[in-house]
Amino acid sequence: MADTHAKHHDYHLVNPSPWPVVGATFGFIMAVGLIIWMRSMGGGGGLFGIRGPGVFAIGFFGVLFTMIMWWRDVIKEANGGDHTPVVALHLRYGMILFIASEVMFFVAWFWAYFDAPCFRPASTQSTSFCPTAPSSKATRSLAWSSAMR
Amino acid sequence: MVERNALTGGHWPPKPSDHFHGTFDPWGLPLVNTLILLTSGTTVTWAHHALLENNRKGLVWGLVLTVILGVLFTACQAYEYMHAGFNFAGHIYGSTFFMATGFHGAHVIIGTLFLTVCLVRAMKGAFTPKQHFGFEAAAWYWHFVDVVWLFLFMCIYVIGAGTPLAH
Repeated sequence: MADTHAKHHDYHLVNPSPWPVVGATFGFIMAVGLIIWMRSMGGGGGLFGIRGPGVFAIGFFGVLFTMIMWWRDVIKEANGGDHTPVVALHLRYGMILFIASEVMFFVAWFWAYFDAPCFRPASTQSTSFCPTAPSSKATRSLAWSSAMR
Repeated sequence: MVERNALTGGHWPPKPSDHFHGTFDPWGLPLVNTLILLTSGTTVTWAHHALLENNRKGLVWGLVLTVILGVLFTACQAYEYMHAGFNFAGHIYGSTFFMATGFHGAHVIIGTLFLTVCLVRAMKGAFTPKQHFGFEAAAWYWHFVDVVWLFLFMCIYVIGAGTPLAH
């Protein structure tokens, strides 16, 4: 009967773990806390009547704690021989997808950065950086062109 | 839709004013930071090759140097932030600049922690030449952070340079 639970495959079925839900909760608190903090900068009013980095700090230390505990579990699993070749391959897939999502995260910030100078109302100016935008005399006075020296 | 010229004033980077004293000179600390990260990319590769050759000393020293370079980058970036000629609020330039470079800095810190965990594990005898995905994932992550910096350096520091702030 003990054989019922014997493993007949190379996959690793993880035990129930609190870290996904705990990590997600603290990650959410950290993100909201970051917005509160940023909205407090330069004498801003914060958000929900809260100012400063306090909420961010709670989220940050929660995420740090989750990171330590989850990482510890994975290392234990690795040392216990759970990372068979097929599991190791899938960890690679996971890391590749994670980094791809990180790349897209930064695409968003570059987009925000370029959106501001590049896309102007047609009636006004364009920049030398974005040649498809309608050009005008004012274009040449833009600092982008002087930066391209 | 927000009238963009209301945000940028029609100038990019913004004209120097009371709120905007100038951009960073890309060929000062930002260039040093670029060299720091490129060097750290070579030291982490050195550590990886040492591990593949089962050279434990090389693995540990390669990781130590990579972590030191990561901390050095963060220190330079913190110094640079403290001497910025603009702030987070007040202008779309400062907001996008600090969001992009700030999140990159956060990723450098995460990558440094990841490498530090690998270093501690390596010193305790973890990783074999055949099985060391934890190390490899850290190295992948570090290269990703490195490449993002190169894009930030080119797009924001070099192309986006206006009147450099007098130091």
